[in-house]
Amino acid sequence: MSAAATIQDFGRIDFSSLIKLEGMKQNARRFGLILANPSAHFNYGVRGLKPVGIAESVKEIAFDSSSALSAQLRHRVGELANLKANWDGEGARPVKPHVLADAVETLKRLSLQTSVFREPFLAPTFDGFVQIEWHEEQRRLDLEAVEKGWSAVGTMVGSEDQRHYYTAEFERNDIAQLVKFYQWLLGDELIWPSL
Amino acid sequence: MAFAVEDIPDDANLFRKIHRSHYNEKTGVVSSAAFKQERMAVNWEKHKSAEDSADANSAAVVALVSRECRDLGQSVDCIRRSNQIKILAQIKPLHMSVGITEARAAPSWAA
Repeated sequence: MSAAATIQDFGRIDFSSLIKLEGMKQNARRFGLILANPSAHFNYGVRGLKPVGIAESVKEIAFDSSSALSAQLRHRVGELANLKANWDGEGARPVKPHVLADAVETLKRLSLQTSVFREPFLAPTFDGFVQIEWHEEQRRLDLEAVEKGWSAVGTMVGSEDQRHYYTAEFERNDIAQLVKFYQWLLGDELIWPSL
Repeated sequence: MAFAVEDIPDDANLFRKIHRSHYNEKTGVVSSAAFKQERMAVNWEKHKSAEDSADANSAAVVALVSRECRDLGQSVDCIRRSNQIKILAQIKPLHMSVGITEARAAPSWAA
């Protein structure tokens, strides 16, 4: 046996995305681990090596996955991944690694599906989720990751500086819907997309 | 020790510190995520200045006007704890908190 350790089952964790699974595998390889069971359920523990926490591993996946994004966004992902518990001094939770990974993946997919990709601002929420924000002159789009998917809020500045707000919720992997909201932000869609 | 209950007037400024992770330095915009708490702790200007409302991790301090919070259906109540006044905000639709953000996005103080 090489210096690598054997991966054993220590519990079952269901990752909904094969992309995440691939990331886990890549991480495992980087840490010198051998996959014993490359099934959709990625179960592992480490014998003889310092265990790598699942959260830490997923956090690294999110960061690794962000390599397709700009240096600025990648830096931002790293900042969010490193927020500790109580980062606001009032009990805020650290960003959930799988939520951050989802946000990164969503941005990667969006950038591939649109000809004009504007850099968003990523912000943590107090309960451990992430918000993706775009601010244009007349329109603004906030996408908040929530338990069941995305919660979208569109803001449009009308005449006399009046604000009009629109809301919608859609599933985390519904990239087609996201593209519609993004096109609304850019002005390609004049009306807030209905679900 | 009991404190006298004080009514916060409608025109009172309520200072809220903005964590640096909620402040977009590039655009100068405060994220609406900074206001997504059911109970938002703020400092009433009567008891604490904007500068004193910040801490080491603050990028800015924003001012919320008491009346605007009430107009959005939030309750503004005074709770004194170690000289800090707290708003007890009701659960509110998301866009309302966005409205607050935009109404008072310009930081009144920056580190």
